[in-house]
Amino acid sequence: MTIDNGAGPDAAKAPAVMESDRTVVHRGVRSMHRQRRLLRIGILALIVLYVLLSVLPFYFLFVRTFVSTKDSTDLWLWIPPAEQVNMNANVGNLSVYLNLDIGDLKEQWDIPPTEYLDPRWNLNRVSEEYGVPEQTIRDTLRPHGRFNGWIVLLGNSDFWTATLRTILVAGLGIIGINVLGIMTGTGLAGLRHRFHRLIYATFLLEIVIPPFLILLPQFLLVNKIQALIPGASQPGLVRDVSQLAVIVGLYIKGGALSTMIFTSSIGAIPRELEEAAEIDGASRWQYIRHVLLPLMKVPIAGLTVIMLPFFWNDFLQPFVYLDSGNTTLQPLIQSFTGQYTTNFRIVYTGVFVSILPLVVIYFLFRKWFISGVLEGAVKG
Amino acid sequence: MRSRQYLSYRRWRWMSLLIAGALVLGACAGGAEDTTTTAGETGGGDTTTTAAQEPETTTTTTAATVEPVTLQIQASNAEYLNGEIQIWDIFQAQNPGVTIDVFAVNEDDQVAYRARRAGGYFPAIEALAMPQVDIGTQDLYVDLLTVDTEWLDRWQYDVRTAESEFTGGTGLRSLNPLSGFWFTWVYNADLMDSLGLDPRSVKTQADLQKLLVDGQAAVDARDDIDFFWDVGYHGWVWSSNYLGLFPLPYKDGQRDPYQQASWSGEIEDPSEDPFRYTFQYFKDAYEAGLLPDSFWLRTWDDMEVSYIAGKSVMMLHGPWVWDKMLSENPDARQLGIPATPPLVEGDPWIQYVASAQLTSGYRIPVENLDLPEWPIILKAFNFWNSPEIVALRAGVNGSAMAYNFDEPLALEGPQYTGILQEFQPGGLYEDLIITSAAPGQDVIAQYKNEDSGNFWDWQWSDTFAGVVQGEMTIDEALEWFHNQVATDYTIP
Repeated sequence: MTIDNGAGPDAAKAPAVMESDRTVVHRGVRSMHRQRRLLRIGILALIVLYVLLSVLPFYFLFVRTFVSTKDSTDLWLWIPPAEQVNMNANVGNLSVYLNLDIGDLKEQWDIPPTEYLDPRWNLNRVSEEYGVPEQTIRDTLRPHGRFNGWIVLLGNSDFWTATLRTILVAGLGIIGINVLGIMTGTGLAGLRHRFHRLIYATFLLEIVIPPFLILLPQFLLVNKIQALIPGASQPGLVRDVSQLAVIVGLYIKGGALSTMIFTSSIGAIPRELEEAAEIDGASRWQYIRHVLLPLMKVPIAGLTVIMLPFFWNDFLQPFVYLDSGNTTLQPLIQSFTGQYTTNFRIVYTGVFVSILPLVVIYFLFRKWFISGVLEGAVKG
Repeated sequence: MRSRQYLSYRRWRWMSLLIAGALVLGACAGGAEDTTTTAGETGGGDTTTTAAQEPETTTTTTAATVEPVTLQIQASNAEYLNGEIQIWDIFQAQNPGVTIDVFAVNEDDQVAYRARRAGGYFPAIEALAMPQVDIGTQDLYVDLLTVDTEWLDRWQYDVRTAESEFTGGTGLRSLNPLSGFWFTWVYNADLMDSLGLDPRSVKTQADLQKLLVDGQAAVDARDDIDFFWDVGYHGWVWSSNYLGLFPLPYKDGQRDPYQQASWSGEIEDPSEDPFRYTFQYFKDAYEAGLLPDSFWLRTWDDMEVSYIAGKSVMMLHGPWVWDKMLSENPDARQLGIPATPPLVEGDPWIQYVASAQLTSGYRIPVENLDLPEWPIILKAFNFWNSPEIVALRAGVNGSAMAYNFDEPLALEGPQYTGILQEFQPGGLYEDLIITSAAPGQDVIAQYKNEDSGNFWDWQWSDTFAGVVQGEMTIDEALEWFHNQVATDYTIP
């Protein structure tokens, strides 16, 4: 029996066509889904690859903190096995190449500090001459077979004080350069004077003067100024603080970059905002605190991102201006290398540890940095 | 709630103040322990405060109590800082109230250190590892002949006149009891044995060539060794040592101990310049595949690390790598042979030793003369050059000394036991001729133009690269060298 549904002879074909269309559509959708999934997987793979490429150098640096000079020509994908204590090793060589303090060794082996420990003696001889049990010597030195860099660095009180000094000068430097930059920018952006451009350009001139060129005259100048401070020519708190203040001062002095960033940012703020604040009775400080500063998040974050690693990793200025007992991280790490030799473990450990605080800071404040950048992007 | 994410402004301000205060106190605590006076404008902590009693071996000096004073004294090398601190502890024990702050400046820090010096900083006693004093800087240091410097008769040469003869000036600014840098062949004896070779059978230059060729062939057959003769580039080593070593077997290469005539411009004709032997040696060796590819770009450190790791068998090297090897492998067997075998068997070997470091010893910055602690500074300087202390210093760095001791010095340094003792009577190379002089480069240093660079540093490596690759003839290389000397120096 044939039922005429009034759809004509082609109507019977319709469901099949529809079915076929649906199949095609389904296939298309599936294919699209597959493509999207593939795209997603591809993007994910790229992201994973990118993350790996970004993290791998840190990983390899970490592994290198355990690799001795002898093994340093090989590629190490994981921490190498610990080196055994060799009782034929000379005390002097251990001291030089593992950066071990002979005074500390004497203390740990109950050798009177007044004894002159011949650096050419090997550990067997030290054991015999001073009656130090071999096991004690082995126990003292065994951890250095793998963790020499970490033990020497973290066990060195100079490292911790140098870290504190670095945090101090870098922190004050960042705060100072931002504060001074905002003040300079406010002044220059609001300046309506025929020499406006000249003054602005004078600030920017700093960017073309190589810091090395002025190192010596600047050092002479600073020395003269420091000599005026009572007590700064002798070791002590006054000298140390004045030296650190010099470093901070050099960091924050008339920076071309901060002037450029803040002058253009502040110049872009409509003058009406300032006038409105004035009409509402806001003082100058209130305007800066409640209107200007919130708008300066982007330039502050930008300048901080650029300048923080520079301050943190600065070697030359702290090396030149600070005494060896009042120094920051980079000169301290550099001091672990010798004239002819390098204990790679301690250098790599120093480098690794010195970048950790920066990484932590960027993780802690990443929201600020990202939101700052995004805010800028939306506002155009 | 958004507000939960933030501290109140008041609390934030107090916390910031507290953290800042803690940081200031913490940061300054390390450097503020020492409150004594110091020599020069410097100071700061990092002091060695361990009191040590005078050991039996030291000179007896009256222990006089003096006003608390800190002297900043530079270590000879960063490597020997810990060892030298132990020696200075003896001085501290003999002189209550005196604290010695021993510091080191390594090769990479030299430029920054010198900038600091130029800016007014001066330690009590300074040591420079490389020759850096010339007539232009003589006035910066105390003339040791005008003050009560002790022990000058102990030197194995007339130290009073040595510097003035060298520079043409007057006085004596620097003292160094080291006999100098000995550049010899050093090899890993275990590796050499495993290759079935014996460098000590070498009698002539031809034998040495054969050893190098056989060694490279043996190494090529092994996967665990990279180089037989390893070479890296180091500006000072090449210009002050390598350049002058290779001409020594030849008659015209022995014209003066260290080819000073070549540096001074006395020899201008490339065909007469002894340095042509050095270029020829490296050109032949490179073409024969005896040297690492692009050795002029290979750093000195890479070469040393390769040797220490047992990937290279032998090198032409100074004293410090011997200890470096032992520090990583205390059981390593190292031996050496002198640098330059003769051309003909039976002729004596010649071994060059870089001068007695006239210009790179310990000196006292002249500003110290005006300080109230000058007497104690001079006392410290005399202590450092006294026989018992020089013996201890020899022990620390394992070097031979050009200094007369009351009793023979029992040196235990690995370079000494590995090769230098063979130069003594009864040794394998007892007939060897030792030639010693200041490198020509150091001799003309005093005439260097102020605005000239160190052409002998990396530019030498480019020149060697050009010669061994055939991009430049040896004559052209030497012509370049003489032109550079003429441009950068004003030699009377």
